[in-house]
Amino acid sequence: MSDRAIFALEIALVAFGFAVHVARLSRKRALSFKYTVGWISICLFGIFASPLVFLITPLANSLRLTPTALLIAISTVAVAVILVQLSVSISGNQRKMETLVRENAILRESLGVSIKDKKPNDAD
Amino acid sequence: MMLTSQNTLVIVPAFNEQESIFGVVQKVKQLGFNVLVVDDGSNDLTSHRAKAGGAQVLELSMNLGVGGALQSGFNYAVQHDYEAIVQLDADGQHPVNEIKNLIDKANTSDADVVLASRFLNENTEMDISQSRHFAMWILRVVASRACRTRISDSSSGFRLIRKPLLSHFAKSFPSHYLGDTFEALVISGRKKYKVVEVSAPFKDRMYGQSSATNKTAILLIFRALVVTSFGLHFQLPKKTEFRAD
Repeated sequence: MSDRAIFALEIALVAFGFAVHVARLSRKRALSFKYTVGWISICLFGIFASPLVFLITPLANSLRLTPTALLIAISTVAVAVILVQLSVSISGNQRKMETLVRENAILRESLGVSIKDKKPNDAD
Repeated sequence: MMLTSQNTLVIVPAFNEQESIFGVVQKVKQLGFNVLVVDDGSNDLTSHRAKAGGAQVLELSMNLGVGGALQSGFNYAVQHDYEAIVQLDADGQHPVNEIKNLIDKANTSDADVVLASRFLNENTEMDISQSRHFAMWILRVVASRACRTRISDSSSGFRLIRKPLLSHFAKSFPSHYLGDTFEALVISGRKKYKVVEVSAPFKDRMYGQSSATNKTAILLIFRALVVTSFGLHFQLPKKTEFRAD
């Protein structure tokens, strides 16, 4: 077996293991569907890209890159896209949480309900 | 619309200010204003003492920072049909008696924001380090350019904001340090909202200590400059010339 084949097999094994882990997280509902699709897509790319490296060799040559460098570049872009999407989600969730805290406070004020459990007599 | 003590709400964001909040609320109430204390997730008796002083209190279940607390107050003011708000610190630094000057200035100048400035009066003396003084000078220059008028105290937290700017800020407002003061000022100025200043003598804090040390303050000032220089802040709608009376 050539060095290139061994390398491709190693990458495929790691990607497969990662895909199994992502699938498990998804089944536990620890990962939303869109992130599951994103990560599984990257895993599939890792599994199949190395054995089919001859397919991208012409493109890599035209870009004056090695096929491996091109694969790494594509994977990096895919990961970056997921990370940007993740950042957008986190920022959006933070905004929603702050809005919820504010609206909760205004609602409680209108209902005259306090979240503090200390007696008002403790005040002074 | 003319601003009065009836249609202007005094908002006091407070975090663990149980020693000073009662006195601040009482002073404002004596002037005939409604007071809203926004308890920003305090774990002391801040909200009880504010209520004891006669304030309405919003209790945030977690700490959102001064800007987040203020935005809660802006929402409350808009929902209760106030025309303007005056923002006041809970630590007793701001001279409560100057609230009426802010309102008078807003009425005579038709300004959207009236800032109470520590530095408008040249004789004001405050204990500020050289590095912080330099950073504040840079902020003043940037804010003055954005507002097209001389701003002597761009980080003042004692100010009046009226509609329609108040309604816009109720929807979106920066919550981090200097976001609620300097950035909000720059954003307003760039969208042609009118900003004016009045002189106000600030006092030293009666209790507690400032939330930002000199080192962190310099870093946050740098951040504020980056945000405003590259326009990374949220966008306000442009001011329309007509204000309904």
